[in-house]
Order: sequence, then C-alpha cells, then structure tokens
Amino acid sequence: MSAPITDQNEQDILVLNSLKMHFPVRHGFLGGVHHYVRAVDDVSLAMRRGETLGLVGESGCGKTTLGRCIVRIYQPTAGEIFYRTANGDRVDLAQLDRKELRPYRRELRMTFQDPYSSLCPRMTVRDIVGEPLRINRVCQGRELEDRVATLLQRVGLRAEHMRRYPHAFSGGQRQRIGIARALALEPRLVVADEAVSALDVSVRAQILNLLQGLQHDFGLTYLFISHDLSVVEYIADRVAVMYVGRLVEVAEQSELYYHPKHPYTEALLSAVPRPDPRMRSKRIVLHGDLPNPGSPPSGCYFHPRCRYARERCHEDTPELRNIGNGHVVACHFADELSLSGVAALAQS
Amino acid sequence: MNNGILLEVQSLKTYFPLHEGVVKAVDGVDLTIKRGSTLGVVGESGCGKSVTAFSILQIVGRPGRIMEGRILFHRPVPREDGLSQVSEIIDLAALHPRGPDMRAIRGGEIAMIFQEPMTSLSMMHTIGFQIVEAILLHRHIRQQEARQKAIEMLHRVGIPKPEEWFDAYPFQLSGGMRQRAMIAMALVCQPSLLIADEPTTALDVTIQAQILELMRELQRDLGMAVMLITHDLGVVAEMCDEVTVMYLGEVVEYGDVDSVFHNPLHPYTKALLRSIPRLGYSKEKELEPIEGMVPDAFNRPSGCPFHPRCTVSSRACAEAHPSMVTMENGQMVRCARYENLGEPMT
Repeated sequence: MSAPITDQNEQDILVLNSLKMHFPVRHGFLGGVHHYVRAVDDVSLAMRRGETLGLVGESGCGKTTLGRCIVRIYQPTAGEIFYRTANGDRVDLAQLDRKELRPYRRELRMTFQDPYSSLCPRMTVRDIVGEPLRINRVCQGRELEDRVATLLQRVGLRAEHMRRYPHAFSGGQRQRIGIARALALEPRLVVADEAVSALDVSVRAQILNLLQGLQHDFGLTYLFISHDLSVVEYIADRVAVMYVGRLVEVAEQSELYYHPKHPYTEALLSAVPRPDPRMRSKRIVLHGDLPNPGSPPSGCYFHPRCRYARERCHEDTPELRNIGNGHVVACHFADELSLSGVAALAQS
Repeated sequence: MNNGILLEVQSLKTYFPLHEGVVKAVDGVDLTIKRGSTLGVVGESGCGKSVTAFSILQIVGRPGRIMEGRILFHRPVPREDGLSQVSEIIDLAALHPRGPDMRAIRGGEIAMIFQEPMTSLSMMHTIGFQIVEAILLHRHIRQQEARQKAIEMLHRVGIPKPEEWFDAYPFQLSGGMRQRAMIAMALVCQPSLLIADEPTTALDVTIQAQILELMRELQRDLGMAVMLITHDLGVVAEMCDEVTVMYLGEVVEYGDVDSVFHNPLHPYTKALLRSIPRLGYSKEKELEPIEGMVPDAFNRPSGCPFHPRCTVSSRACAEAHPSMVTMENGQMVRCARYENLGEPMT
C-alpha cells in the first residue's frame, strides 16, 4: 500500500486515496473469474483547485480508466475519491450510489478522446450540447437555445451551427462541440482525455489555447490525460506519470521535465522526437514491450525494461515517496541515480 | 552512385472522380528521391501524401486514377562484369497496374509499410507464411530456403526466437512486434526504395523509438532509400535528409531538413513549426495556431491553396497560382510573397 499523500489541504479539489480499478477476466462456460486486470492499482493523488494536472503514460497504462473512475463512469473496486465541493464539504464519490452522485455529476465532467464516436450522429448540435441542461432541468425551450448559442460562441463556433449534425463538422470543430457539452453545466473539474490526439497538427494549438482560455475564464481544474509529452509540457502545471496501472512519478511540470527521478520518465522524455534536426538526441531505447496488466512482472513493474535495475527491483515493489518539493517517485534508487531531463538530452 | 537519383515524380496528378465532384488528391506533385537517402513527406490529413505513395506503387483505390505525370524509376541493371552499374529508366505511371512489370517492382524493388499493421497484415495467415509468400513472388528459390530467409529477416528486425514466432498469427503479436514483422516482409527482397506511410503513428513513444532506431539501422546496412510519410515534424527532424511539405495535393516547400526547419520559406511551413509544442521550450513561447482548417476536398480555394489561412496573403494570392521558385541552396518554395516574409526562424 502506498502511503496516502493527503494532508487535508484546503486547496485540494480532489484527493484520490489508494484507488483501485480491477476488471475481472472471465473464462469458460460458467464464466468463472480467471484473473483480474489491474487497470488502476493503488493510485493516490491530489489535485489542487485551478491547476492543470497532466497524466501521461503509454497505451494500456490505465490513465483513461483513472479518468473514468474520477467522473464515476466506473465504480472503483477499492479506494476513496474525496471531492471538495464549492462550499468546502468533503464527499467520497467512490461511496455514493447513482442517485446520490447526481449533484456531483454536474461538477465533474469529461471530454472524450475520439471526436468522431463521442457525438451521436443522429442528434443535432443543439440536442448534444443542450442534453445535459435538459436532463438536469436547468432550462428549456428558448432559454436553452440561448444557452447553447452562448456556449458554442465561447468555444469558437457560431450559433447557427446549432441545427447541424456532427457529420457536417471537422475533427477540430467536433472536439469543440464536445468541450461545449462538457462546459454546459458549469463544471468545476474537467477530465480531458486525449483532447488533441485525434486532431491535425495545425488545429491542435487552437484547441490547446481554447482550453487554457476557458480555464482562465471559468476557474476550471483540468485532469489532462495524454500520451504526448510535448503537449503536456505546454499545458500542465503538474505532471503525473503512470506505468501499468501505477503512478511512478508526480512533480511540478518543469521539475519533472528537467529533473526526472524515475528511469521510466527519463526514457519517455528521451523517446520524444524533437522537431529540430540539429538536436538529434541520443535516445534511450527501452527494450521489450509494455507488460500485460493482467500479469505484471514481480517487484518494480518497470524492472524488466529498466537499464538501472538491480537485484532489489526484482522482488521489492517500490512505494511512492516524497523526496521534497512535492516531488513523489516510486523508485528504490531515486536518490542515487542522476537522470537526464530535457535540457541534458538536448545537448547530447 | 550513392548520390544518384532513384525516383523522380514529375507533375503527378491523381484524381478521384466522385458523384459530388472531382477530388484532386494529388495535383501536380514533383518529388525526387536520391539513392540511399531519406525523404520526409509531411502534411496534414488530406494533403495527398498517402495518395502520392499509392500512385508510385500503382495501388490507388478505385475510383482514383493517375491522370497525368510521370514516375521515373531509375532501376539499377547489374552488368556482367560486376564493376559498374547502369540504370534503366522506367516510367511507372505508364505501366499497367496489374501487369508483370509493375508486379515485379511492387514488393520487389519498391516496398511499402503501412500505418496500421493489424489491418495490413492478413489475419488469416501466419506471419511466416506471409513473408515466405513475398519472397517466392520475387525470387526463384525453394520453399525451404525461403523459410530460412524469412526467419533470418525476422531475427534481423529484432523479433526474439524467430523460429517460434514464424508460425504466429498477427493477433498474437503486440503492436510493435507486428510493425517489425511488416518491416521484415517489406525488406526481405532487399528493395532499393522503402515507402513508409506513418510507420509509427499507431505506436507508443517508447515503441516508436525502437522502430525508428531499427529503420535507421536497416537503412544503413541495406543501403536503401526511404520515403517517410508522416504528420509528425519530430519524426521528420530525426530521420530525414530532405523534406517535402505538402498542402492540399501540392508540394509547397522542399529542401534539406536543416534548411526547412531552420529557414522555412513558405508561410505554411513557418506556421506549422510555430504551432507545435516543443519539449523544453513550451512554457516560454505561446503557441500560434493556424487559423481556420484544412478546406474540404470539393471546395479548393482559388489561386494559392493556402491563401485563406495565410497571414501574409495579398489579393494576388487569391487569383494567381504561384509557381515553384528554386533557391541557391536547392530549397524550393511555392509562394509569391516568400521574399517579403522577413526574418528566418531560430
């Protein structure tokens, strides 16, 4: 068990405590549980009000599952999700049932990765963006249309787009519709799952700047899930790195990028191709594939691919520990290793 | 011979006549690929980079058709004395897509790897079978020898225990392994040109690093040329010698990587480079997005295709289609106003 990193801070809007999401894998005629896939395994994390927390990791590391647990699309297997409401009360979202969750669903919203499959093709944009308003009986009729029009304008679309169907829009515009839908109920926390990954390069910057503008205007807190480290560096205040269902490192953005303490973070940073032919970096090429979260390796999950792995890493699972300045890392040798961040890699 | 030309594409036009109108997917593209070098082709979705590659191999899907242009492949002909090589020049665009000449070149001398290895490998056959099939199509050797060659190649692309994986089906392999298997299949006949269409887009960063490293190594050892199609400017900067930037079916800029990244001439190239987040710089600079979006294929803007999104366009840009201008260093740009655009980028 990793130690809870919660000190009941007033600034924390969301605190995750040993959160677990295990999916059963069933086999055979009777459907007995064969084993569990530990998609999210013992994650403890705090989010401050008004910040953008970047969550990075490779496919299958559980970052989307974690986001989905927070907005309670999933019922977590174990652990706590403490959410601080606007008037300062703390509630554990993991314990609430459907009915009790309703008021909080308005405050925690999510935007989805694929702007093509996340909008219903048979609904007009007015119905898509207005649906949360209608369901929560916020407004209807004329007033609803006005609200939708304002929302569309705020995300850079035009009011007359309301009558169109999703197929009439490009990927970037669809992402904007998804953002408008997430904002309709004036949420306090938005989980943005791979918000720009499906978009063309020239359109990405538009959406990133839009997200930043909205955060400024509405005082939003973002959990920004992405596999793209350069995008996360641009938008995030703090960054959490996940590997096979566990957090391996959390730190302030520049601290993590310039002084990484976990070998996996170092390898991830070095693997990003730089758009500059004069900086062809010497990459740290990790060998092997990502482990299967259904049967992870023993000890430190990263040890089979780690170039600094020692005897101890094979047996002992490292816990997340604070090494000062709010920098937490799950590596036995975090203090001894001197790893290269983006600056050092750029020079080589 | 190393700096000789391997492939020249001259004013290639590939159109798709549809009910709604004609989609000019490739509209007058010129490319030159040098022997043993890597040409990057960058652009956003719909710019025609993949259709250009499909045209070279004559595998454009229906109703697409090459309307105009030449694709000159300088095919090396080994001479009897083995000392010097001469090339014969074949116009691929003139060959019948299903004729014997094209089939000998496709997969033999020009091979291609695709973005999504799961959909481009046959799921009904083992990877070994598929590689052996590729060998037997182009080399007259025995089945047993071909099997040996295939296993060697699988080993060469870094698949551990290739004898065991030889009989595996694609679904049993991870994404990175599948891409390795596809590279093995493409390279087993030692092509002189490998076309790689977004080879790492579907992969994770650490796996992408492995595959790029592998491609570089194989290119060095086998001496082939690579045409690398991607939207990722980072991948281009790391891998390529020359770059071609495409927009709406046209080449807008061409040059060696260093010039294009450090002294881009076309407003589109400049804007692209300014709009991407860069590791290590991100907090210092605000991203400058390119306004608007890629126009849809049926409503191509008049004049310069980029003018509606261009920050420096004039009225003339909307009317006259600019022609390609060549610089002293060989860099080429298709922009009427490139001279007035001011300072180079750092």
